[in-house]
Amino acid sequence: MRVWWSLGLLRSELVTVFRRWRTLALFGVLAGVPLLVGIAVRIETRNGGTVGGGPRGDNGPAFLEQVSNNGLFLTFASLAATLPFFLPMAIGVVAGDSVAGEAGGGTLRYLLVAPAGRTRLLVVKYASVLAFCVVATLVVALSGLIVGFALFPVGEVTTLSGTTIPLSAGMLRALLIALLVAGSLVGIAALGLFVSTVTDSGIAAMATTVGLLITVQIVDTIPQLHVVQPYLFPHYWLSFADILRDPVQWTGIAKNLGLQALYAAVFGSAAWARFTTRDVTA
Amino acid sequence: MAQPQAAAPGESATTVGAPRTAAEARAAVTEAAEQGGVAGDTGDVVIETRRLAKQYRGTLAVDGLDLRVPRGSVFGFLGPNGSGKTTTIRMLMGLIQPTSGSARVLGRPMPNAARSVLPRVGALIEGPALYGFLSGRHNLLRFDAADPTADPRTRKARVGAALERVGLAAAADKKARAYSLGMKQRLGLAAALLQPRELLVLDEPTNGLDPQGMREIRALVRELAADGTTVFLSSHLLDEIEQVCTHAAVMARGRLIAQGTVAELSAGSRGRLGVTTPDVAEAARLLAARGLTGLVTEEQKVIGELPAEPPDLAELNAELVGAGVRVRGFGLERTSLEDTFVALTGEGFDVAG
Amino acid sequence: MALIQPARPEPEQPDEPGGRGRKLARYGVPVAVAGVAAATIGLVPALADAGDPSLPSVTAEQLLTKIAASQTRTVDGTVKVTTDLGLPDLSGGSALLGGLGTPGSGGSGDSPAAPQSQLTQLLTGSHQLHVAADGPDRQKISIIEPAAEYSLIRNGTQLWAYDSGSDQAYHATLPAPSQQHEGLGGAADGVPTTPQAAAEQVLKAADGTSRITVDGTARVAGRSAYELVVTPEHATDTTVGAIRIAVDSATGVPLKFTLTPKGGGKAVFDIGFTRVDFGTPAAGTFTFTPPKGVKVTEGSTPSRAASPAPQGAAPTVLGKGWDTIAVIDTSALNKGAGKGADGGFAGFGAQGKDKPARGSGDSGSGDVSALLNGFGSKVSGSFGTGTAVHTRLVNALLTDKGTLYVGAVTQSALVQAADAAK
Ligand SMILES: Nc1ncnc2c1ncn2[C@@H]1O[C@H](COP(=O)(O)OP(=O)(O)OP(=O)(O)O)[C@@H](O)[C@H]1O
Ligand SMILES: [Mg+2]
Repeated sequence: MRVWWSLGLLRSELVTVFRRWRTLALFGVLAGVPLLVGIAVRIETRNGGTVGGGPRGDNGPAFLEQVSNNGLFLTFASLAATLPFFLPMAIGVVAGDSVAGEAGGGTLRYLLVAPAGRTRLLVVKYASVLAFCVVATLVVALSGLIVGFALFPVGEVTTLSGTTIPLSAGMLRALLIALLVAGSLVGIAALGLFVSTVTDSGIAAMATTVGLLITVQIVDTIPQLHVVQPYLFPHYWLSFADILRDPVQWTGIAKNLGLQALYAAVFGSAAWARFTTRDVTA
Repeated sequence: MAQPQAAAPGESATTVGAPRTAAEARAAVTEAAEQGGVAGDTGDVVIETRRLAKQYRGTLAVDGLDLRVPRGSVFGFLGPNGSGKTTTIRMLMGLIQPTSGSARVLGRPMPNAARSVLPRVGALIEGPALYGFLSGRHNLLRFDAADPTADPRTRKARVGAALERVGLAAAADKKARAYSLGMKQRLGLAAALLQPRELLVLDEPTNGLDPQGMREIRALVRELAADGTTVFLSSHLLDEIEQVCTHAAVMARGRLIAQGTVAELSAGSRGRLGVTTPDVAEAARLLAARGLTGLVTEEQKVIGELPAEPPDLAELNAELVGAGVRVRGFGLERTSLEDTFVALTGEGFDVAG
Repeated sequence: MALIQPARPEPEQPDEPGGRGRKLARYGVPVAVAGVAAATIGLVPALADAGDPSLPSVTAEQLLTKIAASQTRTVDGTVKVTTDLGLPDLSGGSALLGGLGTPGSGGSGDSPAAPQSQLTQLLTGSHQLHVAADGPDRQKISIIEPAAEYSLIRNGTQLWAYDSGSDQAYHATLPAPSQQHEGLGGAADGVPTTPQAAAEQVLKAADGTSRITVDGTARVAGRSAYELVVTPEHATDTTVGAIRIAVDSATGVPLKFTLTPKGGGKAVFDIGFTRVDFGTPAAGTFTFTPPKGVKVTEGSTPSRAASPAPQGAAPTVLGKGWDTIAVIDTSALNKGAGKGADGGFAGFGAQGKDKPARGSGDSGSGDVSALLNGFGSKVSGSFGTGTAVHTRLVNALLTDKGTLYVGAVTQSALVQAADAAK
């Protein structure tokens, strides 16, 4: 019974997150990316040309070349295009605002005297941010799927290794990839949550989280800093593509998920330490 | 019963009005309280703090607070701006950690027992705070969902009843962003009334309300008190406190300077005698000789405070007349809580740093 | 009034802000988690590597025999290749090497799926390969790139390649398979893609020109291995310092190959298994059907007998052993360009002892001088003037008259060679 009553807060939190115009606007932007990519590829390949321009074709985002042959690849291309930035930025906004926004608005004190319980409230907040990660990823994936099926031929899927798998298996892998992409966002969600417990300003928390994301992404590309790069949360993000190899390579995926779990543990517990001991004066 | 150091050095020195009188007033209140208006048995005490203190970075917001709120009382919490009322309430509600001292609410220590205490407490702290993008009803549904002891099956009904009670039923489905200040205040009150409570803590509940709203709130408070709910309310409106409260406490600069029943507090500043006469000088001399203090002479009037053991007023009057003072008016002036308040906290307008 | 009673007595310390000590204790949790993670990351590989395996001691002779007698013909594993020639870390680096390694700029060389351009990228930076082999005729090499892959599959006479980055395929028919023993995975276009291929080239060349010793044991890809060290002897000009080969104690298969330059510092070339399995790979591994909608480029069929070098530009070889210098007349080369050995795996085995100049001396292109000018420095000697390109292993000198001197030797050795040739 108590568990069920605790779920009431989670449900209320989910309603509060997903009802907001801001959330819907973010979903709109995310859904727009596959549409734009799809239309761009369609226009460019109309005359039988290739994407990317150069003969090597390795300058554009991943999977772009395959899109015109198989619409399913628009899902993969869209996820690859949004994962470095759009998706984590959306997560940063939602996670950064989660606690700080309530503190800034003053509603935090009413939740706490209700009493929501600090640990319980934090767990519910993190759970709702994770739910947002999954939904945001699915929005990109589904939009990619719909646009891809509408604009391009769809059929058997060519793996990165050049082998062919049936469309049904390809769809299954697409679902797996979407879940992996959502799982890749677990780390920045925890980071955002921690930042959110530090300040009373939702805007400041969002800006800080997104700023950290940008900084880390830049550090991840500087060759001189390769020593720290394996420990940066976006470092193995692209490993989701290993699902499309034949045989599937699990090493990178495992590293990615392990790193995300580590970030979740470190920043999740830091958020807990901060939130359960802080004075709520706003 | 522990009392704040009423005559702490500096305290009386900075009192702007009549320092001696203020100190005496305090002493009187202390006495009255000790003689036992306030229940001594802890079972009957809803809020009890012991040397409670809170220091924000630099400022000492609350200092050595010993507060006792008896069960069933309507307790007024008075004090000038920045005197530490909200800070005290925040500590009582477990929102901030006291720097030192301890607080017990409903017999359990706070903030450690927050999970068992707070469901029995309704609170309105420093004004209402709402989700602007949710309707009034959904705001309440959310706050109720946050309480793990609230039964979800009765949630809708209880939210409806709370809205009804604060007169917001008609505007319940409007977005809270579109509420007026008074409507927000009412919704905040509704959140405090979502469940039957043992204690209501209301920080300036009538702030922003229209006169009708204020009356409604007063009626509501009386009604709740009649049901046995203890109400702890802070306010600047002394009238209001005088009208609804059975007990009161006064804070100034983080310290508790008086607490007791409202009657005791009002009596605390003893009666003031006013003599209307054209012979003010003679009258003043005589009154001073009979022990009156704080004499103020106006053009046609002398006002003074009666001493602790006042002389018989009839004799005093006869004495004045006998001395040739043309007494045109003679009588005790009614003392209000406001006088007490001003006497205790000083006349100065500046907020204590 | 009905009061809600708490459902159960509460523990009195759970949830709300605590004193200083409790605050510190709580912050201890993330610190501890991070600490444990750091310790795990630091210690687990250290523990895994801990203690070189103790194996019965062998002589270098015995170990060489073991390598030669190795019967292992099947492998399925992951290989990491790291090359650090000290070139600027730009795509230009691979362009230079690609230019040197790619026969001509016409024909099938244009396809992004053609093996030459893909494999020469291994000559810079760090790459992960997936290697599978079932005998000399069935081999597959995949270059694992982020979100992309390049696969090269040989099945008998059929050579297929698929580049996912460009979604294009390449096909060539090879001459009938030779009986010659080739390494697992083999070397394609002069670029060894397994430690064994690299080791074979060196050991052929090392015979009589090097000191070969056994130096302890090591653990590679979870297997116990002997460490064989090859040090050049009777060679004054070579830039090769030492070569270390880890040989699997059970199968005699080289598992890791590391070349350090004479000048010291990081290895110039390091190739080793990170995961290896000597079982037979699934048969499906070596079949390739071009997917629908994928553009297939047909490659020319090289003749097995042909030297990898284009006709008309066969390099002259100066010196011997490690000091070998290849001399190429680029003016002749330009005319002969475009007829390269597309033949992928045919590459290295045939090259024999000329190998220290590997990958660089076997062909050229019309762009050579342009590329050299981009990276080189002007040198002069009694031969006249020319452009020298310096790497940590291979040096090249292109005289203004169009003669190219290349070798794993010092730059002054090249200048001397040019002077002597005049
Ligand atoms: N978050 C804070 N950080 C630092 N100082 C604070 C904070 N909140 C309050 N204070 C200080 O603590 C003192 C008491 O403030 P408090 O809000 O308790 O006063 P109050 O009695 O509620 O006043 P008011 O009648 O204006 O509501 C003031 O001096 C104030 O400046
Ligand atoms: Mg206040």
